[in-house]
Amino acid sequence: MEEEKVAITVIGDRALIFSLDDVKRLRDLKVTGVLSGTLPIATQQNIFLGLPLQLMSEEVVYLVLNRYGYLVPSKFFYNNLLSSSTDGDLEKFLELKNEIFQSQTKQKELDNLVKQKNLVNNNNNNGNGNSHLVLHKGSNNESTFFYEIDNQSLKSYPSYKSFQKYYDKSDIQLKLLNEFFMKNGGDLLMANCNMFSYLLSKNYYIAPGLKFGGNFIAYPGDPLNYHSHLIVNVIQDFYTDDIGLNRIVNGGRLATSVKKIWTIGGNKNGNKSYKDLRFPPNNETLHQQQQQDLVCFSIEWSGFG
Amino acid sequence: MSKRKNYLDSIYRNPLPINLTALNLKNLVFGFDIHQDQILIRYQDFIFKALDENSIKKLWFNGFFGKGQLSRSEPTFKERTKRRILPIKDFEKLSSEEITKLRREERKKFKQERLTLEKQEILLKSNKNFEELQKIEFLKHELNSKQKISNKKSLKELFDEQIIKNGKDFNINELRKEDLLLVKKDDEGNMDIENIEYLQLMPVEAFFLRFLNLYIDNIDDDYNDHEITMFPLRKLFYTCISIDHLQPDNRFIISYIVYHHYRSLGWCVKSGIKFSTDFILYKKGPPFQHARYAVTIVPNYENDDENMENPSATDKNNWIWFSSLNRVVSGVKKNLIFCYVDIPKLDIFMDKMREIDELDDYYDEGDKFKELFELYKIYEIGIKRWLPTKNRD
Amino acid sequence: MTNIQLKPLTKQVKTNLEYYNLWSDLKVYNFDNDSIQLLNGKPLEKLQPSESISNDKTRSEQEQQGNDREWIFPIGMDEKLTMSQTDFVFDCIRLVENERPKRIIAGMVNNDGTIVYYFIHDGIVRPRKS
Repeated sequence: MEEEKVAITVIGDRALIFSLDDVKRLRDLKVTGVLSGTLPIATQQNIFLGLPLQLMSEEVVYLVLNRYGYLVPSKFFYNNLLSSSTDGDLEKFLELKNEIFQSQTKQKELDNLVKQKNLVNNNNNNGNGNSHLVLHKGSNNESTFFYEIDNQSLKSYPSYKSFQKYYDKSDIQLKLLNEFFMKNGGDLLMANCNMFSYLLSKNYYIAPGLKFGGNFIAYPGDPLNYHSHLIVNVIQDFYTDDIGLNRIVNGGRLATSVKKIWTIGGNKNGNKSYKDLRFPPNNETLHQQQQQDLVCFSIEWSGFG
Repeated sequence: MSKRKNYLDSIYRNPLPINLTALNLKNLVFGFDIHQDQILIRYQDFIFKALDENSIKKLWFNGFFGKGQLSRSEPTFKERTKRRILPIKDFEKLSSEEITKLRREERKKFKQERLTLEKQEILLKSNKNFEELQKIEFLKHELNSKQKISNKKSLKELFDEQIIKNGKDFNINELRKEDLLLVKKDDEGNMDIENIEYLQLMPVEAFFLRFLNLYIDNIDDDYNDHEITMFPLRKLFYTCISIDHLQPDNRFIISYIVYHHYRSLGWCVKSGIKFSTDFILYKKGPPFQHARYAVTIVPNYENDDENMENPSATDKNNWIWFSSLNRVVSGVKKNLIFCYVDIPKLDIFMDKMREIDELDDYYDEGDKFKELFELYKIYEIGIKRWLPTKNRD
Repeated sequence: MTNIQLKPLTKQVKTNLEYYNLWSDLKVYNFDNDSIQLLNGKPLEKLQPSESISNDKTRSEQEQQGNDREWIFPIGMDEKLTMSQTDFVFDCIRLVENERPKRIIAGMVNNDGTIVYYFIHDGIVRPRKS
């Protein structure tokens, strides 16, 4: 189960997923995210973007607390971790690092040999004896086609994933999550997260809702197969926040014109503070743990008047 | 088209209920014509109403003030209901509500016919009956061309069709009990409808008319048939502020300032509630063209902390609301205008209010209120969505 | 039912429904020590049914089940409306009908006399397909 966990990297204020396998895994969990990768010289504005996948704050919280993913600490945190480790720990780190490095170079050598073999075979098949390809015998008794330049990147830090078991621990993850909350709205984000997990439990797929004037838009199935049904607005305080009659007219009108429903939701029991977040015990979902009493209303134009 | 335009221009000649008479053309001196019969407005049940036909006509035909409370804009309740309930079927002067209804029913009929044809088509496709399919194709094509604007039926035709459909017989027992309450006999013994509709004015409209001294008499709540008393401007002001507190950012005051601003520039200003904005602006008036602009008021406090904390400002600080508002407004082909109103400091405001309260009853309050309103400043921003892919040409 | 004193807002909405939207048989109900007044009436033509996501019935079954009468909640455009107030209105109706209604209609009264009507469905519903 550990290996299937998705690694979420937070860079600045964006939560990103860099691995394609993770993106696929997330889609199975009904978390779609938004592809955001583009080239500076070929910028695009719509769906033809690539990795990394950017996640909404609510998606991050959902994945971490339900143990589907873990937060990768930033360099700052990473350095702190390093500096707070004992000597024994440091030795272990270096050993691990070397192991990984060795296994990676071995793999690269194997790949090179295979490549080389294939190329030679192709040449022979051409039946042309005039081969301009010369095999060099490089250092370390390796045959290569190229004059080998020392690849610096192989000597840098191994992938963050290899250190997963060091920071994928409940206390560290909770600390990282707290930091994440502080940068993304604090307790205001909690209400959104509650609504998010409620909708997921009703089998909706959720995407950002700015274009339609809401916190989210919700699809009854995979967004590639369905149009969205709901424009969702989260109400922070069930008892004192004004929904806003002007907002109802606005939302109702907008939703009716694009064949969606304008939904509002709030927690009757009030929202906990993010500082009180805990991982739910294994036999409970996050939703159950929060003991939410989410009340939703759907608004649309009545058709007369 | 120009015949209709000339007709409209002739009946809606004045932008305000004022009759100008030239006293001296050489020096361009004009005088107000004091109306023989005044415009009467009554404040009742927290609403400003015009009840008698004369006032209603003066208000609507000279600047489109107010709204018929049982109509879409111009008060047409009596004629429409007469046509609906009584056996009077004259086609002249069909109201916009009735025209819309006729067109909607025509469209509904078209959709139903199309639906039946499509259902038949599906059935025939599954039976692979190609001969019949061709016939259906032809029928569909015919139906579609009938709906084209050039082939559409005239309103008179639709009106006559409906009369035939509803039957000519009038049976008073078939009316709803609500409608029965309205039926009465007029002075000549003919059947008539009780007109329960009044013209409702927004508080800003009532205050505008009174502020400009357009000879409007506001009848007090304890209305005595033989007495017509003038609503003093101060009393009207406090009435309009009503449940909100008296403070510089009071919703009525800010709303009035924006209303006055656009009215004085010649726009016809109406409520924008249907589009979730504060006002909409017509160049001439509702019967002419649809409103071009939708105005949203944004209060701007001098102290920036208030802009960040006060709900009347923070409601409008957020991109999600902005995106939604823009979308609705562009969806109805209007341009969005943000009207920022600079709000004066509390002490300056209260000083001015004190001056107003201390005035003698007979003093012209208008000047003092003018000074109060001059404490506020307006600036406008027009908003339009820009799409880098589309807006290059 | 004895004659209930109509609040000004209720009166406006009732008149508008009866004589502009042509509803019939409107009744007034008072709740919560007369602080909330609701209307119940019959529209000219039956309004479209709402499809709750938790309902397993097919669309046509739901259409048949739809009520002839609707509940209207009059409210002024400058009033505040919270989630708990809305929830409370649904609970008030439960006192009369023994269960929460599937939906109510908010009749929002503007200061120029325009009244706009919006459905407030209980819970999440599916959008119309037309």
